[in-house]
Amino acid sequence: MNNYSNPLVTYDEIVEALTAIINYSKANGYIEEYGFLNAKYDSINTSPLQKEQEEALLQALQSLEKTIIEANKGIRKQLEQALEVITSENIFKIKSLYEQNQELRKLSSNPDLVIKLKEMSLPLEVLNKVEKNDQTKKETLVDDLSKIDISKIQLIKTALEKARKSGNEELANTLEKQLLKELEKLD
Amino acid sequence: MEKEMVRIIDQKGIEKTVELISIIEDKDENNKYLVYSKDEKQKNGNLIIYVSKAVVRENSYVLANIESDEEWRNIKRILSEIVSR
Repeated sequence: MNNYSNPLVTYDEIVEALTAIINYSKANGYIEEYGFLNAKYDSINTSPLQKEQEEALLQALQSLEKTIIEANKGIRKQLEQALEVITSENIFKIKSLYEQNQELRKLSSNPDLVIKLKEMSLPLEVLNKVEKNDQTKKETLVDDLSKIDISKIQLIKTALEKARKSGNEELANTLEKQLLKELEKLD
Repeated sequence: MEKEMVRIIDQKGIEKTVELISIIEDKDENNKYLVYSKDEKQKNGNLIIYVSKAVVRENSYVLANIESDEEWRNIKRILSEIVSR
């Protein structure tokens, strides 16, 4: 690229180096996706990398980010295409992990984006009533982990019935107590 | 911004109080998702947020795992779109 400011490094060499950084990061489970270059790079949990490796990788990723952000618009677009990444001003780490034994999906989010998510949230009331369309929707997930406390009594009743059917007396007793407690609140 | 807390009950009957971050919707698939936090912060100040799917069970919503990677990618896309607005 003729218009790149550093004549000692070719555009192709930059792309090659940056691609290597990304591939190395992915291969080591350090990043799952690379859609947002302003992401925070700290690992959510134990990284398979040694501390020194992780620090070096973090610096490489930051350099990568800086290179792209500081490139002029034309170069930046080409780099994005070459590296198959999208730069964004948003800071939102894209990294999913299964929480051990629970398999919950989780993300790491910058506090500012938490605020944004709150602002853009649908009202909680949307989960209070089931729309007709939803009722007919095929359910494929059977072993769900948890239940939201919106119609709590109904949920406890359902769980209680299941516990009784499965012969789990200990759980049934616990749920029965919870149910009684909730019913007392209604009095 | 005031924290909105919700209580969730897992399948073992254990109740947990979590902070509701957001309720998002995938209009194409007609799915709703609950985004919540257990107030777990990382060293860099980021908050760990969890996403579970709200599915209909016996005329009410319950939370379920997001098991498919494709669905998870789609959720992240929705979240990204929200924060980009």
